[in-house]
Amino acid sequence: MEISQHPYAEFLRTEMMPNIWCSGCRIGRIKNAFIEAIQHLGYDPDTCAVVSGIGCSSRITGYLNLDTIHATHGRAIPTALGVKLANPDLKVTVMGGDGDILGIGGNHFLALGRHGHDLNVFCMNNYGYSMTGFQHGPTTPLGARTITTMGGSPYAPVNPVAIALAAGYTFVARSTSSHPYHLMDCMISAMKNRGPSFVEILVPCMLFERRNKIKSLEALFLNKAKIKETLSEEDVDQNDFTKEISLGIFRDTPVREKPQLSLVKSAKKKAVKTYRVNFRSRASGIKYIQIRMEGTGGQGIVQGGKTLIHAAMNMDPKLNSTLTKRYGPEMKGGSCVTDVLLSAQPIDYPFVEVPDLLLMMSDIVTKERGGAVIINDKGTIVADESMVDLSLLDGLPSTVKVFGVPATQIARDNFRVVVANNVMMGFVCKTTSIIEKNCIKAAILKSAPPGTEEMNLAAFEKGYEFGKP
Amino acid sequence: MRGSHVIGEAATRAGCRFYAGYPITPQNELPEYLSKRFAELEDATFIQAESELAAINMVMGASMAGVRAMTSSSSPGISLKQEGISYMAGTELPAVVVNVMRGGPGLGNIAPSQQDYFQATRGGGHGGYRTIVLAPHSGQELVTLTMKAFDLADRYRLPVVLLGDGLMGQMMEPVTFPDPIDPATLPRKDWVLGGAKGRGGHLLASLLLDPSKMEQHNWKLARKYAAIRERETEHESYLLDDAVLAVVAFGTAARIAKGAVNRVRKAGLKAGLFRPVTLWPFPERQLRALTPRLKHILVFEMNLGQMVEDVKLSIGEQATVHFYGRPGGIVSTPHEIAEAITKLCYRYDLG
Repeated sequence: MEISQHPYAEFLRTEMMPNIWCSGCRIGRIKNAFIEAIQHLGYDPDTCAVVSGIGCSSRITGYLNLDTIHATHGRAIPTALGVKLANPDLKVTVMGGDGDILGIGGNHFLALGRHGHDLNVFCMNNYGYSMTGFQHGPTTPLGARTITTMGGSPYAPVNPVAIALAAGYTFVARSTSSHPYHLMDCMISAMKNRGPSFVEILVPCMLFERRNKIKSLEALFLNKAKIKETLSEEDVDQNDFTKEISLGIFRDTPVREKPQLSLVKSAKKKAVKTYRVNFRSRASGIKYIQIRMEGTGGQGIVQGGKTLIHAAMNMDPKLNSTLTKRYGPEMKGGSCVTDVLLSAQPIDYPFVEVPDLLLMMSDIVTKERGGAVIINDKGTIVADESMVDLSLLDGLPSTVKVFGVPATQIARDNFRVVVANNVMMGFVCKTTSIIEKNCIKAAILKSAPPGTEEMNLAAFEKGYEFGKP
Repeated sequence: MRGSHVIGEAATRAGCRFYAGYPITPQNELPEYLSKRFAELEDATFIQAESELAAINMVMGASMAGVRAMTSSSSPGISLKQEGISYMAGTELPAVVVNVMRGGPGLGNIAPSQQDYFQATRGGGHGGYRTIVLAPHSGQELVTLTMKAFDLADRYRLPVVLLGDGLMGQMMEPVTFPDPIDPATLPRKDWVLGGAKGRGGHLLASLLLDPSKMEQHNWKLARKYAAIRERETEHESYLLDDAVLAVVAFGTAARIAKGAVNRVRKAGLKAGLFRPVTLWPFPERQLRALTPRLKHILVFEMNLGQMVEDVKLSIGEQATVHFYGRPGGIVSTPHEIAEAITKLCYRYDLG
């Protein structure tokens, strides 16, 4: 028969034929079952895409005249997921072997069950890595000889169906290449299912037969396999061709509804009160100012820096500014430094070298440095009296202006400790007059979580009262 | 805006509608931003993959389906993604890969570093391919280069690497964005998977077992790379016209070097900065054009000296190449570089 007269010629890349599979291999039959399933479902080939990885069974994509991808070894599932998510109209099927899908790609196989997207995974289980000469794989039976387990495999095989069930696939079935009509039925049901579907297809491999002196694996499949209408838990484990194999559909459930509730308490929506602070932008005349805010993680050091940079931008949008921060791996309790630079010229080096304005929310950074305080001779230091050991600031040149404000204490007494950084902002605003009041207030509003605007602004005002002009 | 967020917003405005990634510091803010931003768009997909390998392969799939796709990671994660990047280069698929470099080798640290220059500019994976590599040095350039990366990737059908570091990713700087591009208005790609009706299936694969076909394909790639070298180099010259010494630096290092050049200029030393914006293709001709007038070149990198090799290849024996580098994630100050420049100027009597 000419290849062009093949009954499925329309679905095949005839120029690629003959295929590379060994004589006696049954993967071709699985390919035909797939074509029949598509025809039976009446799917437009225009809407079907097939993705495979590397291996004997993955060669199917080379012969199907659909849009197909021959992807990376083991990564057929993520590649297919990429296609599906980018073009949800396509019906995407993954075809691969046990080594590709369960071995190197095992993690992706698990993750798809969790992701719950509509992909079909047809896994051809031939008990090892055939294309490379038959090394042992995740499904190689205990005691089986392969070229990397010459004395018999010492490893217990995995049960693909059991894994798929546990991983949350919404459709799970087992069939063999020796039961083509049953296989086609399984494929049809799998493609109808709207969630992740998995079909394990047992397929005989010549190399496996030869190494293990099995006359015909196909005969064993036909002899030991039973197609069952209903399957129990015991049937999951009956996948040993020397004893008994249960074929059929283990699970066919609709795709899960998306849960509405999370463990996080949902915030009650109150009538939203909007706050607004008007400010006026103008040329600030700032040439170059280095501001450093330092303290302990959790004190709002980075937030304070953000308020400053946003406020500066409110005041003079033409200023160049950068914010950089450094902190330890811990989210709270470690040392934390935020550097803000304001400059009329483009900024080359985005860290503070010598601060003109140093805001100390705690003394942890200075103590880590061995007690040395780095400050410009004509600079200004504002320290949180309730957190900083002020004796550290003794011995500074008399030209350095030092102010203290019990910001944390004020915040604790009047509001909550978390707004101490805004008390500090208020104090700094009045004391240094670098940035206009309303510009800072607008910046605070911008980053304050909904519902806390009032408290944050009040904290700012309280700090402002303490300020020394 | 913070650098990572800037990349996310610029990508969105460039028409990127698919992102897959896996957590790694210091690039976590980028997926964080996109997860929120993409949720506002009806046609965009954000997915946290189960591994870096999954992420790059999801991007590959999305790219095959025709959307503008991006992934991001940091040095060790990029190493894991190299297989997928090589496949995309072989299959000629566009994608944007953001690498927020950290110090290495191995797990290294999360401080700003430029240790991945070799990996990025030499392709990085197996098979002798190339990727276009862009090195931004400011917040505003993160915008322009991210958007440019998507255009280049589509035009030449290859992965484009945006090479930044922890400092570029974390630093906040004001930026302005151009108007967003509607993905529907982008040129149609005639090679994607979109249904095989009436045209025969598209097979996207990088497996070519026949050596003569493989050779044909590789020559095709070589012609493409030659065209990119010809057309797409980009660099910035800063105060080079009258300079007697040029500093060559990229990314964050270039920014610091610019500050150093400004300082030594104040002291009367005529130094300038040559900043490659595209690291591959490297602006060889433009750099060579500075010699032989310039006799001395100082390469400054935040590594043990990687780009210095490209500089030497570019200029041959025309000038002496010096190197200064900090490999551990310590960010040099402009003062430190200014000192290095000054020393050279005195040593070689460069007025």
